[in-house]
Amino acid sequence: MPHNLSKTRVLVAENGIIVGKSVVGALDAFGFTDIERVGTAAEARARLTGRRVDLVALNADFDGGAGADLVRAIRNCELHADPFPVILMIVTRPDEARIKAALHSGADDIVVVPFTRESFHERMALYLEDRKPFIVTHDYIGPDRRAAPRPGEASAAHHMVPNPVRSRAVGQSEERYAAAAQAAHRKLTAARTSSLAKAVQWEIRAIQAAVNSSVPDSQLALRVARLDQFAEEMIDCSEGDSTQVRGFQAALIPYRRRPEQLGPAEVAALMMQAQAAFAAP
Amino acid sequence: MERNGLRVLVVEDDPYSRRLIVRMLRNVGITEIDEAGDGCTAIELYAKDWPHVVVCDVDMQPMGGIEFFEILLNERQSLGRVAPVIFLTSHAESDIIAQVRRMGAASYLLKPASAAALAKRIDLALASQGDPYSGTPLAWGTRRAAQSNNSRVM
Repeated sequence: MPHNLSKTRVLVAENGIIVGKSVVGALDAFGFTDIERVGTAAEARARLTGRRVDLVALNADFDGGAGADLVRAIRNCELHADPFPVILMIVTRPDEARIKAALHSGADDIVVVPFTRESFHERMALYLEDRKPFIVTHDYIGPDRRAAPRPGEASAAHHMVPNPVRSRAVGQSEERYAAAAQAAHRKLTAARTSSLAKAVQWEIRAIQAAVNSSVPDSQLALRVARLDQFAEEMIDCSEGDSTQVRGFQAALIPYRRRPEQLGPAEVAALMMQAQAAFAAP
Repeated sequence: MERNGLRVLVVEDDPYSRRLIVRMLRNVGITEIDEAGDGCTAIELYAKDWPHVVVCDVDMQPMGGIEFFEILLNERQSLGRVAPVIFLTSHAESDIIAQVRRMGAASYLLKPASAAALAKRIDLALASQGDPYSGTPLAWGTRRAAQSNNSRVM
C-alpha cells in the first residue's frame, strides 16, 4: 500500500542545534512534512497535552531525566492524549546508564546521534509496517524489548497496540484509530491494575515476613513508601471510584513515619484492606 | 597517511577559493567533501553528514566561521566530541588568531596554503583529537572497513 506521510504529526524535542537539525533533516528527507520542533521537555509536554502526535523524537538527556519522565507520562496517559505515539529517544552519549534509562522509559527505539541517514530511514520504514507489542508491569508500559524471557521468569503478556505512524500513512480514519487506541488503552490499564495489585501483595507479604521475623528489616520504611507509591499510581490509572485505594493509602500514614509500629495484626489488616482496594474491577 | 573515507566539510564563501580547497583535498586522497558557503549551511551539512574535519574561513555572511565554531563548541556539551576545526583564512590579525586558538581551534592556516600543508594539519588534528565518532557507525575506521569489504554501511 502506498504511504502518505504528509498527515503524520511529528514532534522533535531537542535542545541541541546540530542534533536537532540532524533529526529533523532525516525525518524531512524520509518524507514527513508536519514536523514541529521544540527545545525543552516542558514545551514538549505542552505540545503533547490533549493532542494526538504520531511520532515523537525526544532528547533522552533533557534536564536530568525529564525526557524519560515525559515518555512515562505519555504511556501512562497522564497527558490526556493518545498514549501510543511511536517514541524515539535521542541519545548523544550512549553510556550504559543512559541507554538503560531510555529503554526503561517505554520508548520504542533509541537513536544514537550521530547516525547515518540510511540506518535512520531503514528504522522508520519498519515503523511504517509494524511495531513491537507492549508489555505492562507495575512500573513499565512500553514495547517488549526482550528476545526471550530471562531464565526462570515467565514472559509478560503481550498487548498489541495501534501504530499511529502507520495509521496516518495508510489513511486510516481518525475515528477508527481513536477506537483502536481506546480499546488498547483499556486493556493496558486492566493489565497495569492487576500488576500493581500483585506488587502490593508482594510488598505486604515481605513486610509480614519481616514483622514475624526476629531480625529487624532495614527496608521496612522503604516498603511502606513503595506501597504508598503503588496506591498513588493505582489512583492515577483508575478511571472509576478510588475511595478504597485512598482509604488504604490513609491507613499507611502512621507507618510511613514509624514503620516499627507495624505488628502482625496491623499487617493482616493492611493485607485485607489491600485485597479489597486492589481487587480486579 | 591513509585518508580514504575521511569526510571533510569546507566552509568558504568565495567559490573560487572553495573550489581550490576542494581540489587540494582531492589531491591528497580525500574524496568525501561537503561544501558550504557560510556558517548556516555548514551547520546543516554538519548535521547531515557528520564530517571528521572542518576546514573553515573566518569572514562569511550571514554566519561567519567563528560563530559557527561557537555553535559547534556548545554542541560539544551534549555530543561529547565534535570535529576539529582548521581555520583557513587570509586574516592575519593576531587578535583573531589568538581568539580562535583560545577557543580551541585545531589549527590556523593563512591563505594561500599548499595541499601538503593542509593535509599535514588535517593529519595532526586527527592524530591529536582522534575520530570524533569513534565507537559509532560513522567512525572513520568503520567506514573504511565497510568500504574495503564492499559491504553496506549501517
